[in-house]
Amino acid sequence: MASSDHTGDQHGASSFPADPMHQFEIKRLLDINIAGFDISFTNSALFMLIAVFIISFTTIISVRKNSIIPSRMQSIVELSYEFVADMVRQNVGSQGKNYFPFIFTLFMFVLFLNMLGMIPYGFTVTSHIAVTFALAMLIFIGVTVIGFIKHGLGFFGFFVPKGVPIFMLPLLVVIEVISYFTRPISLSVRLFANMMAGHTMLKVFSGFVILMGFLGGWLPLAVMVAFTGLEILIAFLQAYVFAILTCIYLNDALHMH
Amino acid sequence: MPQLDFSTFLPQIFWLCISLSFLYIVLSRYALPRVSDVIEERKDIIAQDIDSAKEYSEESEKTTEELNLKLSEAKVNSQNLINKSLQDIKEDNEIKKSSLIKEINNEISEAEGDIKEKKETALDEISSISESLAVEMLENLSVGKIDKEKVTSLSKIDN
Repeated sequence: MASSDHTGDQHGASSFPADPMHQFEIKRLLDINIAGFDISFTNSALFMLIAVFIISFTTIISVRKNSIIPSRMQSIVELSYEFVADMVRQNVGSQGKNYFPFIFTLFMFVLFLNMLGMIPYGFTVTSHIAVTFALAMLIFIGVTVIGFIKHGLGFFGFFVPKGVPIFMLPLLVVIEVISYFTRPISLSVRLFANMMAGHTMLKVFSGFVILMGFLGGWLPLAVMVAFTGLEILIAFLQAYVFAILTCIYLNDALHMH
Repeated sequence: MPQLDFSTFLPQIFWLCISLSFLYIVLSRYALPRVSDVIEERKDIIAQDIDSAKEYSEESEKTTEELNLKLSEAKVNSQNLINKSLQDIKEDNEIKKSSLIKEINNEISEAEGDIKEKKETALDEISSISESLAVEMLENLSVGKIDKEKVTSLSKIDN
């Protein structure tokens, strides 16, 4: 048993019972090519559509009756509505009302993509930097445009901290600009890295369960169970962090600090 | 690492745009307005209910005050009534008592007069009866005729 462990480690991922990165592979389910652009329907697209379907279906079903005394489904939708509305109210203020639908969409979308990844054999769309970076760039560009519409060229004042000695300004402005432009990177990498690391870890532990067999596999299995709980928490937390950071960036653009 | 396979970026981003915009349209055009409507409506109803509850409680306080006022008034009134009727009864009793005493006194004096009269008549009768008794006794005892006038004069002396 010990020797087989050893050889497994030496030969690397190929003889490891489960390749931890295999779960992140994009599979083309339907090849679509329009005007030279590859827009194939992949497993990633499938899970995005599943998330969209679940969210739309749940909300539409629950608001169709729209009773004053809510049903369970309606309660869930109303709770999430209030949750996001509170988040927007606290972080953006009353001006954030116009952007609430977008924040709500974003939060629910990321939350469901993360949660769908927790289902066995599911695919975690948010574990791909392409998706998270596209989302982050959308938010970054949108927020910057809102800032310029709101304040005109005065939005450049955002990079000039107030109450700082003049000789320090060149340095601080550079730092501010860099920190502003790294926002989409930190926003996207945070989500992507969290999701990828968690799922890789789960897969590695599941590999250990098989490797250590019936006698020794119970320990990694217990760790896996605990880790699954933690991953579900992280799935929620990262969606929340993603949404709340969007709120904070939006607040910066609307009010400048 | 599949994440760095650039050939998959375009399809991922394309479908991301499609699904996100579809979800945004569904939520912002249809679902969220209705959710906010129902929440607002519920808030309004609750606020209305609270308002009406406040009104009712104020009203009930007012009526309680009125009730208390009326109760105290009624208490005073009833006390007055009791006092008055007590006094009336007392006066009535007084009057009845005095008239009763008067009546009794009258009756007593009447009875006294009666007794006096009766005594007198009785005395008269006794003297006449004793007169006639004496005459009869004497007639039975003696042989001759008895002078009635003498007996009368004798009895008169007796008296």
